[in-house]
Amino acid sequence: MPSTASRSPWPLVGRHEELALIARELERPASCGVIIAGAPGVGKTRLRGEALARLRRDGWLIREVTATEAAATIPFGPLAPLLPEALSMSPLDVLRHSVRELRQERGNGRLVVSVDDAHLLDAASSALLHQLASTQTASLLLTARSGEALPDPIVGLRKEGAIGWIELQPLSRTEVEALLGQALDGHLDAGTRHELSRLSQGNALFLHELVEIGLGSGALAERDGVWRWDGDPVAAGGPLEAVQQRLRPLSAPQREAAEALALAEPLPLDVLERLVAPAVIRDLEAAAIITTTTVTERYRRRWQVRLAHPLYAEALRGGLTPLRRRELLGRLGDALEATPLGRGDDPSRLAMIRLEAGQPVHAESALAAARWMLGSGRFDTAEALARASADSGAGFPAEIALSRAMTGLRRPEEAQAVLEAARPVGAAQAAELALTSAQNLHYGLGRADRALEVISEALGCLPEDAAFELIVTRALFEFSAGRLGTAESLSIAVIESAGVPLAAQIGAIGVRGLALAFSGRPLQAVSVLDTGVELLHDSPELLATRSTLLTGRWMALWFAGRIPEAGRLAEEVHDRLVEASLEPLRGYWTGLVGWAALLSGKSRTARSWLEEGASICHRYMAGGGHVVALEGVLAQAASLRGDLLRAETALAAAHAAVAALPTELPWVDLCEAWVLWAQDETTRAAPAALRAAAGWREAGFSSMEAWALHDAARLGDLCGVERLALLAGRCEGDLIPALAAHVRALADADGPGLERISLDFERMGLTLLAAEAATEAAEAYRKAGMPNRARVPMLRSAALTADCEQSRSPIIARVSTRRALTDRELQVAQMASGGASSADIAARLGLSVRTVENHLQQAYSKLGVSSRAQLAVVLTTVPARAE
Amino acid sequence: MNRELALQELTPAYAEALRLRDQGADHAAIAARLDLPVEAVPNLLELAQAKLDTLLVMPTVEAD
Repeated sequence: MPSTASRSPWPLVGRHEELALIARELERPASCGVIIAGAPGVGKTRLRGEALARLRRDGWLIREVTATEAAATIPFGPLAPLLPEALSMSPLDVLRHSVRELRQERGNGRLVVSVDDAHLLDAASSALLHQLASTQTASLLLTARSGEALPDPIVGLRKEGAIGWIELQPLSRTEVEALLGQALDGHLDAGTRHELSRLSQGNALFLHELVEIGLGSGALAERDGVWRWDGDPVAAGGPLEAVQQRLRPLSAPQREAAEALALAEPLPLDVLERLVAPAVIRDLEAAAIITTTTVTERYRRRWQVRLAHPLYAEALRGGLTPLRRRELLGRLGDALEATPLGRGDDPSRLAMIRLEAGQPVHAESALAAARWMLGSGRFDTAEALARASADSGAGFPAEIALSRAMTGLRRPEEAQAVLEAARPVGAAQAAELALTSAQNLHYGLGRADRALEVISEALGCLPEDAAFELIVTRALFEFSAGRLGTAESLSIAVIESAGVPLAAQIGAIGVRGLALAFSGRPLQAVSVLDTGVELLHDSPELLATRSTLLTGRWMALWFAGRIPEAGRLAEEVHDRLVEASLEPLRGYWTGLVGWAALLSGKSRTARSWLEEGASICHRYMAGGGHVVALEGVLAQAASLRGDLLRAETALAAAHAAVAALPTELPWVDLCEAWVLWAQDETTRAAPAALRAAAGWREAGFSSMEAWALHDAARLGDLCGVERLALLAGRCEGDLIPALAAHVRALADADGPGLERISLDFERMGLTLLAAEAATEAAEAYRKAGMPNRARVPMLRSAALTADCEQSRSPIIARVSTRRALTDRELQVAQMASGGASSADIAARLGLSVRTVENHLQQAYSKLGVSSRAQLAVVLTTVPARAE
Repeated sequence: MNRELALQELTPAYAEALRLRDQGADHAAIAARLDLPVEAVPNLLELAQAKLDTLLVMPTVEAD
């Protein structure tokens, strides 16, 4: 499999508009043709090939050549394959004969003469092309490298407007991702997509080479249905040949400048000029190895330099020996230190460079860099920087950063020891110490009670203005422990206080929104959270620490029945986190993209995203609520796909993670219900969902309770019908009333009611639920002796199911089976498939054993099975497209 | 997808060309900013607009 993508030609993606434009240009009255110009590797030749293939299909006569530097030394050399035997002719005769012969060859048809790399044409060849075009003998389709001088006759055609000019651009990020998906025929990890897109910069040649290297070295491989690149893309297989070709001719000073940029781009021009002579930099710019841009700072223009392509940086870094790297970093650090820093220059970069070069580090710069690394999930680097900062005398703030890095590195005991030794000065530092300690106790050590005690102790001796952040954290812990009322009142107290710092304000809004969403008030939640979203929009740097707000919004959209909006939100936040390199958080939001897909019935799409999200969460956290949530949803997705093994392992991972949490989460019971269903443990599935519902009810999580009761009904137990009706009366939004109405209609076998519910679910984006309701509606009509009324819902069910990526469904499976069996046969068959003996069934149903055996035989016969084991399989694994 | 999001999805040169056009820049100004021959600008704008239009009608991207 790994070599599939490299052996076969890649699909042409993202060039639909260009092909249409070429076709239009060639049809334009008085058109002489088209020039496709672009950077090396951008895909000019491939586009030309595809355009020629289409023209050939349309009946054009095609003559094509490739110009080369070698052939360009001979007059007409590149066009020799198109020309008559010209040994004894003068150039003028060659021109005349060639035009005449090609015109004869063309007859009444249409001819296109195509030249690849037309910038390498000699003067005679380009004169001939001009002649062919201006006499309307042939249309031209040329490619040329951007920035290279074209022969005068071709320039003349361009300036006259006779030949169209297409400046071919690299592929966009979306196009690169689509191309990768098609070339590898599968789903790619978002991090891999982003990295390959960044490295290739939309250059198809670079992208192709990168993928080949990844496949060849095994670094790019499909794991659990997701293509992922493990490790450094370039180090995996050596630098790309196309890149090496560009870098090979560099002189020693040019290489030094390029290497410095590879280590720390972008660099201010004045810093680079301290390393090499200005002429060296100018030559690099002329050779398109570097690019320069200007930024205006305080009315002063500053020049910044970067490498022209990210792959140059990767290749140059890969070629540095450790000592060379250290020497260069040392010189770079000196140059940076000696140059006044502009506003756009990050002092933390200097700290990183000094640290890597083994030189003394400025305490504040190292601290800033450590904080940035914490947000990016690079805890090991954060630890080194925090230690360097502490060694340089940064004191308390460096100790906080160090402890956070240790928590991230799953060393909470060490983190706690650092915190206990820290000596805060003033109220603000005391509050920060209590906060960090409480978080380490809660998330790292799983000691929720002690965490709350630490907060209470601190609140008792801190002034109000230093306490807001602590109150928000306490509110979040209370929410996690299922005490929604306390969480909400604490967050309201912060929101309504004066002088609250922005971060605490956003945090409080987030917790309040979560509490509202889960307690059945999703519309209020959305409204409250929107105020926080606006604040966050103005302060994007708070995204790393205040994502609870967006999580709350996602949940509120779910419980409000606005699933497509939830999906879009997850994708949008995911993309922002990728851009900001906030890797630990990206894991959860990758999972939320998948979760939204699962809610809409797309279990295959969901599974891909969830695999990726869970894998990232595991990489950065030992346990935690995020892992429980995502592994649980993954178990559900795998169950709906019939992948029992994956469902069981995901559920086991969720159980393991929940065991490390300070509070119980009924969520795992609900996920277990779906795994039991997939395991054919049908009699245990619904009770597990009901257990979850009871747990949520106790905690006051009305929205989740309603969801779990509805799941229990889907799994065969309608006992929650009355409770759901009660919840529907109390809860806001469209979702919970629809869930209650669905279960009521199921209990009453109410065909018209089920049809209405199906439409409601479809409108909310809950496609699988819509399909299930339509299936049940058809069944209700059939049972009521109205087969004609069953036709419409039956067709709707088929159409909706087709949108659900072959997801399995207990309701659709039950209906299909039920249609074959009488109610009594189904009842007996279900009990038998659950492991009950005939005598047990007889006793429970008040029948004779003989009658039970008769019902069972009838069921065997109708379903075409011969054992209880087969019966169990048939009863629970009928494909979703049963209609 | 709204227009601003769609613009962000475009290759930088396309997005820049459309923004400049929206601001009233002529072909010569766009060519100078993007370092292109001025004859390349009409087709660049046409392609940029076509790609933008495609994005504007594109539904949410599926994962597979």
